Amino acid sequence: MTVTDVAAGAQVSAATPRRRRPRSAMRRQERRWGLVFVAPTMIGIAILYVGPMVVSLGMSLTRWSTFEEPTFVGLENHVRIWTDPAVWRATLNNLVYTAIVLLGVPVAVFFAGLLARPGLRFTKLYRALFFLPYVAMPTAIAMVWRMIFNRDFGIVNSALGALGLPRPAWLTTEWLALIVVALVALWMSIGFKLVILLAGLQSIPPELYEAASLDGASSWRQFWHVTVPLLTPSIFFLTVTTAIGGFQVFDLVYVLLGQSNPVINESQSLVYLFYHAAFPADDKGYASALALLVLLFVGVCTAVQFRVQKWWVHYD
Amino acid sequence: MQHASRLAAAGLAVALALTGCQSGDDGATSDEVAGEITYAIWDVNQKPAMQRIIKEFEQQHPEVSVKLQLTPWKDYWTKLKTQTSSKTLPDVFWMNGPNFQTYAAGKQLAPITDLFDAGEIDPANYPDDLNAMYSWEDEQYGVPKDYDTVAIWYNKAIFKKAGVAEPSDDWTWDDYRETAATISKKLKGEGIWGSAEVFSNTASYYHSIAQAGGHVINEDGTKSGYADPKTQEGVQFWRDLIESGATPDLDFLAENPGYSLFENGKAAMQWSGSWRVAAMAEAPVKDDVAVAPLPKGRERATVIHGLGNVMSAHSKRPAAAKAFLTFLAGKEAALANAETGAANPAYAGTQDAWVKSQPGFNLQVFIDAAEQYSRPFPISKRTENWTKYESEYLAKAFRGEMSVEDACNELATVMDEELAKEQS
Repeated sequence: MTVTDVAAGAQVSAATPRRRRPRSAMRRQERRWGLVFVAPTMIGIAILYVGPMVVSLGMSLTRWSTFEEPTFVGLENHVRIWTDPAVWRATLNNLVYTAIVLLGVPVAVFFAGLLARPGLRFTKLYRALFFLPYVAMPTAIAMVWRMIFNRDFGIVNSALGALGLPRPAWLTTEWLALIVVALVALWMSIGFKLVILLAGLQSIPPELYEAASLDGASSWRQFWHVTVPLLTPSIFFLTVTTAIGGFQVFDLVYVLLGQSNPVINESQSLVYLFYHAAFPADDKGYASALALLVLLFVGVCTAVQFRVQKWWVHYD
Repeated sequence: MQHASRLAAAGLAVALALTGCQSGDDGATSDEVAGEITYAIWDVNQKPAMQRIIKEFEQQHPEVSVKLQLTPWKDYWTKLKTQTSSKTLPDVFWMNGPNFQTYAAGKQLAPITDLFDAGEIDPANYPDDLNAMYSWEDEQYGVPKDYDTVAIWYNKAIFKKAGVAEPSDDWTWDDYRETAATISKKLKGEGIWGSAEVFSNTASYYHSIAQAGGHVINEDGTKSGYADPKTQEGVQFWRDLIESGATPDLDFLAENPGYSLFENGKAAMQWSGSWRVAAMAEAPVKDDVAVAPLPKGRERATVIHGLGNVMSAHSKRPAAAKAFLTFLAGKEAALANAETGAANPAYAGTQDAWVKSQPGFNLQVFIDAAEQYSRPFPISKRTENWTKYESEYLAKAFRGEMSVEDACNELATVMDEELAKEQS
């Protein structure tokens, strides 16, 4: 904001020096009102986000549990992260999980393309059906999926058994458990992605499709050469939020697998590890260090995406 | 950037949510026996009994209202720790042996020695071992609520169907294992197991370790007993049970908990405690259930444990909390525990009412076990610090990832390290 302001101010002052003072007075006033308008958000962010972040940083330098006074230990917790194999396994799990959930973006683009086709009947019904999993409670959904994937009584294995196929222990086999969690998350997130994409689709002028079909483009080619490029801002938004969400996953792991799961150590995410350190293990210093690690990962991942976006996102 | 802060905010929200359910106290500490206090428990099966106690108490003290706070066992201690950090512990709450010393030494509990001295609570009404369990450095902090022992819960209908003899008083480990394996084999087609075990310290291996003549911890709580070959025999018993096909393995149980299998008629037997009575009385198999003494290893033994009621050192209404605690310690509350079958009360002379609450179950077995061959529950100053390793290493042994001997020896090493830390 400041950069454009300064640039605009310079232009104005160069062109019309005499009218400079009233303009800048007005600008000052605008700026003041601007601050007033963003204040509620900024105060909220400061209290609920920045404050706890600073506290976390402080806590991460201590050994702190319920029944002892916090003691300053310097960087001990941060050093411990580098030697804790559970952290790196959780990081890998987060990456695998995020990669799988990101597949939901092309899937959602495909369905959005279908739903936006003119002449399709029951569009609203389809939209509602797609959106339903997103508004349902993740915990409740996870309970249902847990039954579906139960090794002995689940519907998936009953079907596989009827076909004479092997019946894997979905939720208690290393990797398989993680993949199941990611697939459930993918399924849950389609609805939200669709809503964003459908909104994006509405901003594409219909003339472009008319022009394309006059030029003889098939609907498949229209999809690839008109719809997808013009949707890239929405797609970019979705990949950024999905990646952030991928590093945040906790509830599904907690409910679908849970603490007593024999492969929880091989399937846990970073935030699950954080939760475990902070609450059941009562090691708040280490938990804070883990939280900062997640912050670092999300920061880097998002920064990289913003760098790369100029190669593929079209803003016109 | 937003992420971790959001995380922190979420953490804050969780903390608030966990602690925010506190009563509407408005700051000042009140010496009057009045106002709203909270009572925290973990067992949904005992909720009706606790509600009855609260109702009776409120009739005597109309100016006090007690809010029951139920948190399932798996989250109870996590939540209590969060509440400890924020000094929002419930006014009165359930305590167990393994956690007691941590909270007493951490100055989170209010001493109630004065209630004992004033004769409001008479220690003679409770077993000495349990009184001792809830005292710390010459102060009394808790009143025994109930005590529990473990027995074989079995399903008579399944035994009949399999055509094998029901458990008898002189059963040995071999009898148990062989019978369970036979039933598993015979009724496999129906998905019925000979036994479905819980594989926890309270329900399973502390008892078998005692029966093998081993010990979990030495008498003054300073050294692990897991390196003792006899202790390891007590662990091996469970590994053998899995290998013989008598009981499902831990993977299976992770998805289908042992309690559900038994309650739904999918298992003939289960080692479990007197705390299951209220749940069994509601279970689909309630008409076929009975209990028999645990089988004998080298000796006949079970480990006894009992819950206590304690009050927070930070209660805003200590007078009301004390009045409620005194009521919980009394005979009326004991009878409420007994008659509903919720728990075998610790109060002398009320156990009969509990045995009679479910005449078909043969609950006298639990009382006999307590009186004739029970051992103290193994605890130390910070029990929780080593039980987490205990469940981790023993799970590896039960799953066959490590030999029982290796798992127990490694466990003994880390446990000794933790115990050494407690001493310093």
